[in-house]
This record gives sequence, structure tokens and C-alpha cells, in this order.
Amino acid sequence: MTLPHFAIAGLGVTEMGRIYGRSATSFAVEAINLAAINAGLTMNQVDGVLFNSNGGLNMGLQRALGARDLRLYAELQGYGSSAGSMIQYAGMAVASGMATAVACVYSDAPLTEGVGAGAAYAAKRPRAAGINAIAIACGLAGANPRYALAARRHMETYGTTSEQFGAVAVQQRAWAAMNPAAQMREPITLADHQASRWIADPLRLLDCCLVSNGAVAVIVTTAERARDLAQPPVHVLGWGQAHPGVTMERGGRFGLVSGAVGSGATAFGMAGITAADVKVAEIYDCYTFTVVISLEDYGFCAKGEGGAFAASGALGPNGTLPTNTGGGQLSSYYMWGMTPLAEAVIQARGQGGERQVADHDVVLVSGNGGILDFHSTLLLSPEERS
Amino acid sequence: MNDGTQYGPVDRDAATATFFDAAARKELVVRACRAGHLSPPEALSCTTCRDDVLTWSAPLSGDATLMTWIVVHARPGADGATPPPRIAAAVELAEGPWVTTGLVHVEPSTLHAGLPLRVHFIRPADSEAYPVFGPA
Repeated sequence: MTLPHFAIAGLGVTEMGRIYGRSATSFAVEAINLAAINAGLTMNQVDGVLFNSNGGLNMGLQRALGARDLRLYAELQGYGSSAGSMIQYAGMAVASGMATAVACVYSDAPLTEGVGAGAAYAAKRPRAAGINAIAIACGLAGANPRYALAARRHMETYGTTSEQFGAVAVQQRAWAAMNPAAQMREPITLADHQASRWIADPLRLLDCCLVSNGAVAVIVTTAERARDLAQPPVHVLGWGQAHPGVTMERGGRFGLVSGAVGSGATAFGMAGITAADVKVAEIYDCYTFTVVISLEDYGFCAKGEGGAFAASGALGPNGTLPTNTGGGQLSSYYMWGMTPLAEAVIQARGQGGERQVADHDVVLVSGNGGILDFHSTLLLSPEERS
Repeated sequence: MNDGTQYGPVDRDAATATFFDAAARKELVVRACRAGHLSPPEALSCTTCRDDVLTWSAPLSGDATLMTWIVVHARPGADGATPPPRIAAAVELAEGPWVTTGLVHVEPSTLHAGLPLRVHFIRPADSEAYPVFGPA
């Protein structure tokens, strides 16, 4: 079996954060145009669009783009795993000749003026009935408490601590301080983390991602075509997905394992490398805990030692595994899997400015969705797979 | 002390009438497949063998073990008093399936994985009765 060679040739990132008065569709149109310009393509040369959103986009995007004769067009939903998955499907489409240049976009606009970020997504939830309504009635409504439930299991099983989660937040903020596009750039300390209010104990405010209005798009094309375009190509060396299906019963691994185990193994096998070859890690960070468990599951440290690994300082600007080098969703902006992907493209190209990691020949992108239910991995490089 | 009054109402639907009728009799039931495996009450496929033909089990013992929990702290009310926190947990029934619900009659600082628990039933205003768990 011959592996297809494809690459990311364009990146478009809109303004991020409390940008009011614009729809998710409007942000998406801008991001795709920016990505095409960045790649050196006209919009008429973009003949595929895959899109993903946390509720803001619909199939009207085609009309909003003024797109004619697209050869690939679909909405894709895998929550935080979507961005990585879109790249995979787009890559296989261009490798087969089905389309030649596919835009993959995430966009959302949940923030409205005068409404707190915490309420941005909550207002959309209808009242549940049946068994699942019991957990909600007892406090488990939405992602925050459900991730807290998973995090506590990890803490009780492996001795992971809130201070270790805090180390993730502090190091990512140190990266964000060097990212002009980050929403939160003021340095924080471990004491700031420990003093931040409970969202759902054991998770504090500074354990949780931001909420952002905006959009990110990338252009996927063949490796051959990417070489002739405007930007240094970012080659996709390997990719994978895993959706573990953890059961809630005796022996169940809820909170102890993510799909990074399976999607990482597939991606590493395809690329013919191991975790030890990864120079920069862009890890989906809806919560600090998600970073800790993903680092374990990719094999950057042993199972149960993710907290200690983070507390060692390994993830920060002077660490052994530069991680979430733009600040991640905790400190830069929340665009689901496009947050780690966009920063990975910047680092792989060598365009990170003050925060650029010198050794960036293999960049890992982790996408995590659901409550550790869905996972995608990409391994990116400025060098093409041999 | 957390007596369950801070937990919200729950409605039944057509698929869960038997579960909530049992809860009203202070009985806890879960899903059972044709091979007799038990699955959590929300399951649509057997978590052991993936059989998709499930019925409700006979009433279970009500004994359980704490697996993991969260504490959702309340904000002070208009009278200045802070209501007790909601403590949501995943508990492992003695028979194997997990149930995700609230804890009662516990202080958050005393909780740890492995704590023995016993089922209680609460019925908030305008709600079905449903199972929660307290110390055994």
C-alpha cells in the first residue's frame, strides 16, 4: 500500500475573542479567503470545503463563499477531534484526485455582548429527560463537570494533583506571552492558579479553556503542488484516529485513558517514527487535565506520570518537550482542534517569531473530542516523508 | 449536611418508565441483556456483549462503591446563606454497572475512591423519584 503525500499549504486566522456583531459564517468566509491568499491560491482554485463548528455553521457556507462547482463539500463533526480528521479526509481526497485544494475550516461565534463566557454555550442546552437527566440534575451539565469527573478519577488513581494541572496552565501562559494573537498574555503563577475559583472541583477557572469568536482555516493539497505555492509546505507524515468507547462499568477506564493511545500508534506507525522523535507537541487542551492524560497516552511519559512530567517544566519555553507553544486553548483562543493545528503549522514553517522552537522537524497535533471519547492525531513536518 | 434538596427535577420518558416506577418503590434496576449481563441504566447496547435487546433487571442490592466525584459549589442566595454544594459522582454498583448521580449525607473532604455507599431515593418537587447514594 502506498501512502498518499499531502501537505498544508495555507493558513488563515481571523481576529479572535470578543469580536461582536459577526456570524460564524462571516468569520469562516474570511478565514478561508485568508488561507487561500496565504497559500497563493485564488478562491476559484479552492475546489473543496470541509467545515466544523460548535453550532455556528451550516450548509449555507457554500452560498456565503460564492463557491461554484466544488468537488468536495461537507460538514464534519467529531468535536475536538474534527480539525485533525478534516485534514485526513481532505488529504485522501487530494491524493486521489477527487479535489485539488481543500479548505478545512472551524468557525464559531458563541459570545454575545454582555453575556459571560461561561454561559455562552450553556444557554443552548434543552432540559433532558430519562436516565441521563439524573446526572444533569445533580450537577453534571456540560463539559466542565464531566471533565472534572474524569480528572478526579485520574487524581484518585495516580495521585495527580491540582498543582500539577496548574503547572500546565502556567507554562502555556508563558508561551502565550510571546504570541501576539493570544487572548490572555499576562503571565500567571502557580499561586494564581490555586487561587482561581472553582468551576467544578477539582477543576479551577485556570484549568479551563477560553471561549472565542473567530475562525481558522487551512488549505490541504498534494505535497507536489504544495512545493510550488507561496508558503513552505507542511507535510503530513502520519495520521490516525481512535474512538475508544470507554464503558461505565466495573473495570471501565473512564478518566484513565484517551484515544491518543490508538490514534498516536496509527500515526507513528505510518510515519515510521516514535514519540521520542517529536520536537514540538500541540496537544488539545480543553482543560489542563486533557494535556496531562494525552502526554501519557502518546508515550511522552509513563501512564500516571503526566502530572509529574508537566510539573517538571518540560512543557514550557525552556522545556524538553515544547508544548502548546502559542498558549493553547487555555491562553490563546478556543477554536477546538484548529487551535493546536494552526500553531503546529506556524511552528513547522518556522514562522513562530519570538516563540519559534529551533528544532521543529516533527510537530505532533492532538485533537480530543467528547469526554475523552474521540481522538485524531497528525504528525507534521517541513520535510516530506521519504 | 447535604440532604439531597439541592438536586434538580428529573422527567421520565417512554423508555424509562419502568426505571422511575421502580425508583418510586425505592428499588434500583439497570439494563439486562438476553445473556443476563447487566449494563448501566442508560445503555442501549450491552456493555459486555453488545446485545441490543435489553430489558430491565430485577431490583439490585443498592450497595455501591465511589469511583469518582465532583463538587459544584453554590453561590450565596438572596438571604446571604450559601446552599450546600452539589456532589455528583460515578458509583460502581455491587453488581458491576456504574450509575452517575448525586451523593447525599457526605462532606466533600471525607470522600475518596473506594468509599462504600448505599442507595437512597429522593423526589424533588415536580420530579420523578430517582436514586442517589450516601455512606453505607
